[in-house]
Amino acid sequence: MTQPTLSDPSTWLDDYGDALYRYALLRVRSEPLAEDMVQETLLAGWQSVAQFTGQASVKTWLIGILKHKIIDHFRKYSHETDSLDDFEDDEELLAHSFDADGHWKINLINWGTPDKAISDEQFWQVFYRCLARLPQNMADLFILRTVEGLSSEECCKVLAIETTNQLCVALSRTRLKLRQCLEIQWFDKG
Amino acid sequence: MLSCKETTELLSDSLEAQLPLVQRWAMKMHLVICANCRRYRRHLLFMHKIMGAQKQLRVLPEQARLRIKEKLEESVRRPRI
Repeated sequence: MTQPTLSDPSTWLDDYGDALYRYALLRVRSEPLAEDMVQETLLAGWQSVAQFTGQASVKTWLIGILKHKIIDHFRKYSHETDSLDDFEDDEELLAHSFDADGHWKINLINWGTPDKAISDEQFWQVFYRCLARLPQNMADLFILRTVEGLSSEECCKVLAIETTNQLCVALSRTRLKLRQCLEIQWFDKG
Repeated sequence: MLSCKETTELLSDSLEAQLPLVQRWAMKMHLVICANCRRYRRHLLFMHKIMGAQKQLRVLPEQARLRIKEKLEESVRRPRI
């Protein structure tokens, strides 16, 4: 089944072009750059197709290649990353959010319905900025799991996470972090 | 009784897979009495919907697709090094 797909990379473009593009776009926040990254990923995949072992799906394999390209990009242009994080690490955010007994220390505000936000271009700008503020592996995980719907097993493989339990912990922290950023940067300012 | 912190973790887990009955029940009990955690749940669903919307909103532009297709075909024709 995988044979015809492997011999013709333009089928990869048809099948996974959108997924690769979205992942790149959400991470690098530039349409031309995301397009270039899709192209480079597919070309790199074609050049190294002999190394494809079939242990992962073609999609997961390509996403893995793209992930490395994104890492390289940020390594080269680290000044472009928004490292002005409100909370440097998880522990700090947890301490800000919960008291010693694990009860909320802050009052969460009403966000209204998503439909209103979806049609607001300014909201998207804030949203992408908050996404970019997540640590790289958290952003990867959140995008691949919630947008592309990669299975837990596939996410673990691509992101080198050992157990689904660790995956759940990471997702929970990511949601907490993203929520906090959106609340401060958007909803509290509304 | 679950703490809010534990409840937020379970709420996140419940988006990944169905929780065991005991945990589901404990979570529901907590949500009945905790307005902040009810709000947290709504915020998670909000973010879920926003992320899901990316699939319709962001697709590879047609021009880029054609350009990449050309490059790929070029590369396929060229013998690999």
